[in-house]
Amino acid sequence: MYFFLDKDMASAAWKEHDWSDVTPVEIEIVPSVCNIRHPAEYKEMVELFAAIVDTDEASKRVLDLSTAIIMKNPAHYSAWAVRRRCIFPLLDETASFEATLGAETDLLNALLRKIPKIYQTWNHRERVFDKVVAHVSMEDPASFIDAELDFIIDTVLTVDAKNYHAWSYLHHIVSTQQMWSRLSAVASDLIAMDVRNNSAWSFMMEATKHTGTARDDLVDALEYAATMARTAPNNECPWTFIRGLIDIDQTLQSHPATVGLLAEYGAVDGEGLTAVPALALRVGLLQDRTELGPEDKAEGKGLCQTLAKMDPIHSGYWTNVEGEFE
Amino acid sequence: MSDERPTTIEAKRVNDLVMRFIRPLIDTPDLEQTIKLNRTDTIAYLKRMLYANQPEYLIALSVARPFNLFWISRALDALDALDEETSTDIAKTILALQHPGGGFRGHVSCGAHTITTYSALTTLVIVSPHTRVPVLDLIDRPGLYSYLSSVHMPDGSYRMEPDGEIDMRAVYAAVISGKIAGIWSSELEAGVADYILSCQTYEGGLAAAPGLEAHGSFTGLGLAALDLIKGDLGGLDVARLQRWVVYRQTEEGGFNGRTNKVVDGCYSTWLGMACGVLARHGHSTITDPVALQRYLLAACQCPGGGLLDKPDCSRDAYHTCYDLCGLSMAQMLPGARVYGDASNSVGPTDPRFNVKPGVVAAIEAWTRANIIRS
Repeated sequence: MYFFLDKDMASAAWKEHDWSDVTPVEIEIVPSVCNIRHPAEYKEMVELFAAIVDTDEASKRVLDLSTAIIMKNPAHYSAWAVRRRCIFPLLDETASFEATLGAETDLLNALLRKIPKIYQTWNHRERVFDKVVAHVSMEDPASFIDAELDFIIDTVLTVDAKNYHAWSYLHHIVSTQQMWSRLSAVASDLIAMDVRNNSAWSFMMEATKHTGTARDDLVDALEYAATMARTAPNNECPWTFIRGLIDIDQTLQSHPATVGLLAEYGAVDGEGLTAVPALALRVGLLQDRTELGPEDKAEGKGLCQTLAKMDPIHSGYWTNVEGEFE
Repeated sequence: MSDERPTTIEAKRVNDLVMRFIRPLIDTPDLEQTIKLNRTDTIAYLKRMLYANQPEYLIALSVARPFNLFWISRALDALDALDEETSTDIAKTILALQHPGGGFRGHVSCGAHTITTYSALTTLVIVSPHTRVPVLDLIDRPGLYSYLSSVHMPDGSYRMEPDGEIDMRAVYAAVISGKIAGIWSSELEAGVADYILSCQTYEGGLAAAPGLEAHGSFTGLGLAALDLIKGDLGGLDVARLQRWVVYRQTEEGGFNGRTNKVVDGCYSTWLGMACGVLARHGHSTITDPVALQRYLLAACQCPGGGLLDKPDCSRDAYHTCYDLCGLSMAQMLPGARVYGDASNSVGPTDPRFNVKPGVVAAIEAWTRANIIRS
């Protein structure tokens, strides 16, 4: 939320224009509580901007003013909105399309490299993306889309592999362009780097729902998750993922990969290894069933009792769930 | 060991940092009585945030002024420290940011914005019992209705501004804004519940938008909005939701926001809202609200007043507000008691609106007396 931009991010082009026809609007509010000091030049810019924000002016001078404001404060959502008002007509014209898109991409890349978690910048990128891919005369939309994906993956997720904004935009691209296998590839690369990255697991599930719901694909996904669970058995992610796969196809519950994994890590009799997420998965699968026999209930109670001992922070919860199996 | 990955490195760093504050309190229970909420310095800090000019590096917040004012007003109200003068100043500043076309803007140079509108209206209802002028009468209700209609999407979601981002924050903000102003209608409600339900993931929590990762903030906001419009949690997998919410409480006692992420004081509000809504409907939630209070009071207090994300962070109005609201909601959960000194009790919070129950009663009374038809 708080950030400094480098001095070299400043843009002075707005000053080259004639603003004599615009009367700056006083931005001070009286009484002034919660006032944030505006640097002198920024104050001058937003006072001019306040005069044009509710007009329909879409000009080079307004575009340059929006650039200057965004450089100082990329959270200024109306500077971005007015910017779209200026550039969308330019993106409609084949003659100005390439140059406009190039300048926009440069600005967005520079800002997102410095401040990768800001709603307004990501929203603008997404709106521009939608505008660009809808452009009929675009010669090579695939290379534009690839460049967008590369930027998110190589520049943003490489630094913070759980950046919610970046994943959200990535999801927007793959869902609108039906590129689910690309999402699956990104997720699996990031899981290989950090098996506890829950964002990657979540989007692996999202990709699976849209691509691989054929039985063979689901079994592949199940076996993959089982392998990952064995590398770090107390990591919740692959276990929850398996429950998500069973949501898609109930018969996976009795697949040898599931049964074997739960036998290996879900023992309550002291005979084998016990991992909390394995026991929790067993409880979850019982909770998902509509009817439970006496043996199932006894199993659920035993699991909850073991979990209450193994997982002290959440022990009260497991005692509550045990009550559901009465 | 080859397990040195970003998630495990960060988890260990934060656990080592936080447990320095928590471990002695677990090992020596008698120390609990030494833990005291620093009300005096926190009130002074919040008043400085109101009346002293805030520094330039906070410039991003200059376009979210009503949100900043909400954090400060809400925190002052939690500490019973709102007076007539402060409340009047806050209300006047908020009303100066009412947009001529409806809704509220974050700055004079901006258009209306959904979260800004939510925070402006919520701030007005928080301060209104302390002002002489009936400030709720000064809300432009027809303008607000037309603004909310303009950001309502066909799938039931809401946008932050006419071509802004769509997410659960905007949905919640729209519902609360409509409810506070007494203008919520079947048109504004169209599709909203189904949109919220479509955000529940296979993990059990709710995401910002369909297809994304379950997240504590969006879960709290989504549940609160669903409760307000439907009055029940029908359509959710409640068992899976409960487990997911309970598992957000970490070894340090506080909440994280997502699976395998680290604790942060502010999630005590978002997941506190989720717990509060679950409890309203008779569902059990976390069973260690004392450990949650211990995290907030022992690890998240700044020595000079104000509250934090975690001990190595700087204080800010945002965390001061949400840590205090979270503390309140933790103290209200079934089976809870006040942790530490008796003066640590901060009084109840309505988990849907995240304001005091008395403020909700005032909203309902105003709405009954001023039925607005769209």
